[in-house]
Amino acid sequence: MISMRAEGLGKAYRLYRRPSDSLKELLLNRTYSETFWALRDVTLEVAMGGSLGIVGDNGAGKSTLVKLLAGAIAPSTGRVERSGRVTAILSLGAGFHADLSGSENIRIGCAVLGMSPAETAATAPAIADFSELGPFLERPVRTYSAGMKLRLGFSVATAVAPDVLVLDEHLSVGDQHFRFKCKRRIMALREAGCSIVMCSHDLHSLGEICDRALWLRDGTPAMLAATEDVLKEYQDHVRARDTAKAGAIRPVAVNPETREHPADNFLLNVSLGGDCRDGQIATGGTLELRIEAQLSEAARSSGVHVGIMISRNDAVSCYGVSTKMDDLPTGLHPLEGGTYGVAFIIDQLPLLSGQYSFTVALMDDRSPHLYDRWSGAAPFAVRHSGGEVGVTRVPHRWARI
Amino acid sequence: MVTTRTNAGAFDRGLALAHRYGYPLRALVRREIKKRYAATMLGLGWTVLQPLALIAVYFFVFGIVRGSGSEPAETRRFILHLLSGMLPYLAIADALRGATMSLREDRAVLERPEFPAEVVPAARVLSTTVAEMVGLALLFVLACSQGIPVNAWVLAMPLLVAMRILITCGLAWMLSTLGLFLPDLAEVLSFLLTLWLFLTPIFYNAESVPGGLQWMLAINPLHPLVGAYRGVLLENRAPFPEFVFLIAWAAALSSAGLWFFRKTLDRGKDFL
Repeated sequence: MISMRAEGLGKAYRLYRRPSDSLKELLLNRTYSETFWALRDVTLEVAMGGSLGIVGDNGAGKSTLVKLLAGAIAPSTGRVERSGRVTAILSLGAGFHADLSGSENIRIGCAVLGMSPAETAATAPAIADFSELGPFLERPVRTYSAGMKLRLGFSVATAVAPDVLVLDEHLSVGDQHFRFKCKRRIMALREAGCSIVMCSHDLHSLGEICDRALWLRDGTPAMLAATEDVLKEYQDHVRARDTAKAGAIRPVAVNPETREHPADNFLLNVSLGGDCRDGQIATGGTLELRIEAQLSEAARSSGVHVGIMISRNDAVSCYGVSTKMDDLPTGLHPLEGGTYGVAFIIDQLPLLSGQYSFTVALMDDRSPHLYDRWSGAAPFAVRHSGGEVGVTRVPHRWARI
Repeated sequence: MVTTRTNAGAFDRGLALAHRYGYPLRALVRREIKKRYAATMLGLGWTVLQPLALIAVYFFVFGIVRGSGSEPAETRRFILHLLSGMLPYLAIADALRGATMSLREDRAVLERPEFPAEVVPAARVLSTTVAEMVGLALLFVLACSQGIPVNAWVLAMPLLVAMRILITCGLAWMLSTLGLFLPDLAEVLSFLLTLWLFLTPIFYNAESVPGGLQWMLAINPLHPLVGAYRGVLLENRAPFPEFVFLIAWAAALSSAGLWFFRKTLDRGKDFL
């Protein structure tokens, strides 16, 4: 059973120089606007009792999608089918009338949600109870703090178990205690078979609540899959984006053919092997980095060692080591054809999900002289299963104390 | 049997309609009335005090300040005449001012697809009826005290008020979505309402309008409305032929208003 289905959903905002141009357009049947697509080509299904999280950068169309799914605005293309009672919390605390008391606002809120007078009378005490506003309920909402308005809004919206609950970025407001209560109620609703659609920047909550996720990028769906997978992809994107913004150097894949290199001693090629296929590897797999270099006789007799550094795409240095640090007598071994090479092997890759690359350096043993260095070489993506977070899997155990 | 079934169908539809619009409308009207007086000390007492104050002002201006030359009974008649025109006008003006801003104020309500949006401006219209009713009751008492004979046509008053409401609703539906596209509408509206007041024979008689301008009365729904109110309350006569015009105006404006509202609402929501 499907509780919500969207097909080819799109929302174009027509940008008018003034609102009246929109009216002119409607009445005169001519165009007075430029079209801006806030959202395009979204097709999705939410199964009965399923939950969908929506992630994306600011301005990616998350709120637009949530509003369309809730029916708060009309789509420009495509359609939404909903079954059952859909409750949306789009703008918490809005819709209350400042001069009226909390309990009066509860009654109006119930009517707006489509309850009959009898239902309202039956539900109002539970709402008052959940909001924990107590004596404040008889005071005008004007006197409430932002958190109190939020409590009232959430309590009203979730008082009657909806078939679909649509949430727009709210769980990060309010005090700890109430936030916890809200999440508990959402989980309880979900267990009772209510479908949940939510967008949030709180990826942790999203991961806990939603079983599927949609990543929106500039208004178009970039990925729709299991939440775990989407969040990992999205985090890769966020790390790269933040690094680019901060002005850090981004690893660029190197083409050995066209690369300019120092005269005598230089890196010829760096490539991946082991369990790495098409730049993808799972945590725990064997990762092999093959390094090939051209060396002069003089350099070789003076001694040459190789250093590597693994960096994540947000410029976090994860691990660096060299043949010299590991006390190897020789860094590079002769290969057929007069070149030299060495393999760096990680038997059980401890890195967690992310996008990584190597920096490889060719150095003189006796001085800090650097013959050659590649940054952003051999990029690879790691995926782990499970909910661990961070950079690497740290060996550990739990024990009774 | 067939007829019974159709009737039952119509009845069910009516019931469904009442279910869909009835309670939301009631809840919003109630809120409007409460909201209006919630922050005041006298609260609902203002619904009586406001028309009373209006009557007192008219008595002061026309009875004492200006009425020194004319017959007192004549002056009192004039004041009743004036009031019977002002009460429906004030109700309409008040409702339209409220309706113009209503969609902006209730944007959170509009986010609920299941909530009938038509109710939002309509609630503003209905809530202003309370003050009108109280005013009309006071006017009726005053008229009786002036020796104006009471007649059975007074019972038609609710019908006239219903026509007044339908006409106002039609205009309110149009103005409410127009208000989304034209942010300056609220300012222009107060000017238009004043103009409307002076283009309607409220302070003067319809007969004093020059023949070349009589067409302006024909296209003014407020003119037959005021005429019907006066006929029933002050002139001891049936509200004809005004009532026929009122039905035509009410049907035309309310259906045109509803059509325009539904056609423009989705576009207008983009500007909320």
